[in-house]
Amino acid sequence: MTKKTEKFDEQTLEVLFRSHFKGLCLFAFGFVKDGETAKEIVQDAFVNLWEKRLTIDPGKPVKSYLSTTVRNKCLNYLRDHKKFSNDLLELENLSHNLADDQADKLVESDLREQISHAIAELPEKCREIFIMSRHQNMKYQQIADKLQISVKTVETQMSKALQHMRIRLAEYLPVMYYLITLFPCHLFLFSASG
Amino acid sequence: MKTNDTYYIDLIARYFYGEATTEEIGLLEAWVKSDPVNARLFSEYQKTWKTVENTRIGNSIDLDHEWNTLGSKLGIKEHEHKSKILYYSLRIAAIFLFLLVPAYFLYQHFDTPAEQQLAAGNEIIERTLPDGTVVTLNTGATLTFNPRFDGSIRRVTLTGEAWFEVARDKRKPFIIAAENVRIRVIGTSFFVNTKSSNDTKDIILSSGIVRVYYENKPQTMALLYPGEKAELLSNGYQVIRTTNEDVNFLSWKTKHMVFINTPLKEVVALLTKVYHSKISLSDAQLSDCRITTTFDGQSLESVLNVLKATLDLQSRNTGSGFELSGSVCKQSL
Repeated sequence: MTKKTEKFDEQTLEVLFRSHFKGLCLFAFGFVKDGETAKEIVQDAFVNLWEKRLTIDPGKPVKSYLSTTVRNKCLNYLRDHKKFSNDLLELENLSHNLADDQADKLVESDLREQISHAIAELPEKCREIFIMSRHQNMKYQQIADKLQISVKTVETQMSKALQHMRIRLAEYLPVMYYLITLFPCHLFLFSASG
Repeated sequence: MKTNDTYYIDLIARYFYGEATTEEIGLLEAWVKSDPVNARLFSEYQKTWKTVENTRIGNSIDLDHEWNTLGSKLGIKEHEHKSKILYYSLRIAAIFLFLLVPAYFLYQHFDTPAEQQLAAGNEIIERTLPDGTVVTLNTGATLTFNPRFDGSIRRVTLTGEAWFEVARDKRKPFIIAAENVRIRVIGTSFFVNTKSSNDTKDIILSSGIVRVYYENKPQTMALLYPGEKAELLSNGYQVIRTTNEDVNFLSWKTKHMVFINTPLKEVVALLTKVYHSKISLSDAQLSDCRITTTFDGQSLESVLNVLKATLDLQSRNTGSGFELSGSVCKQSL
């Protein structure tokens, strides 16, 4: 039952914001691969929602409207920065779907602990580089400059970190498990380069 | 063949970590399309990456800060008392809205007291002040203020540690008093500690600009910019301005901790503070063991599990907390 007489005021916006902001950020992040950019895009989507609040269809769920806005902004961002690949986005399940609660829901505490363990298991330098990249938002070049090593080394270590995560977390991401056995990649962890 | 695959896995990592160039994305796309095995591998890495990143990002988003940011962009008016009560209701379930609405009407009919005090006992508390400013008080902190914020300034008095997200109001500067120190802001986010370990008042700024000065000697002041820290001596008049090196200054609020080559004694000190549980080391030798890792909004038990597994330690419940013990410091960490 649509509530056509309900006023879309500041309180309405705040409730929508607090319910959907995080999920939409995770959704946007999937596209743009950068946390700050994702947040800006979602903020812009809410600005857009507020500006159009009197014209949007009250019968349709606001979440779809926001999702569509976010997705379009993300695609535009990728195109503008020449990082758009429809084929890759298809594989990432991003080209058609809107923000999906299942895919984007915040990770359970048990899995969080496993992730912590997985990071702690990385070799020391690898771990340090990984943390600088993910938690201090540093680019490969910045990490290389700070640690006085080559960008190639940073790249190799980041790759090794991701490889380790894939093996280590496979059993917690059930869909992946049987795929690992088809293509054992952990052999690459021990390759000497970098 | 092996070298080739390593190349593409490195490329996959570059793609997901935002480093891939246009050309590289083209190469990756071609590789993925060339063989379904490659496509499946790409998908697996994507799921792995997304899961790890979701944890980190989910915890790093501060909704209050983001809402403030949006509010500024939209020029939304200052919050009135009404929205303050609705704000509380957002945190409880929607069904309580009906209980709170009558309370709102009651609130209107009683005179507000001259001064109100917020005090955090054993729990961190977060409140929205009548002007829309959101303050988070660490345990033991108190904030005193006149709820009407009448006059030409908005003034509060603080003891202890707090995080402020000050609502923008150019007409009325927001001033925090901590003994003889004053912090003056217009609209911004920052952390204040009135009782730091070196007997200084510390202010760490995240966004905006603040001015810190002594009440009776306002010319001894500093302008702080984001990422900077100011320490004001308690005896004497001196403001020391530095770049903030402490990434964990807000861990008490966010439960997000980053350790890079950090000695275990510091890790344990921070855990004690953040989780209000006395974490100690059985052996002085363990103090200098170093660890590099992060924790994201986990329980103390979870954090200790990771520490124990990583450094090969055991823990013992001491009643007031936990004691960590272990034989030798694993140098490889």
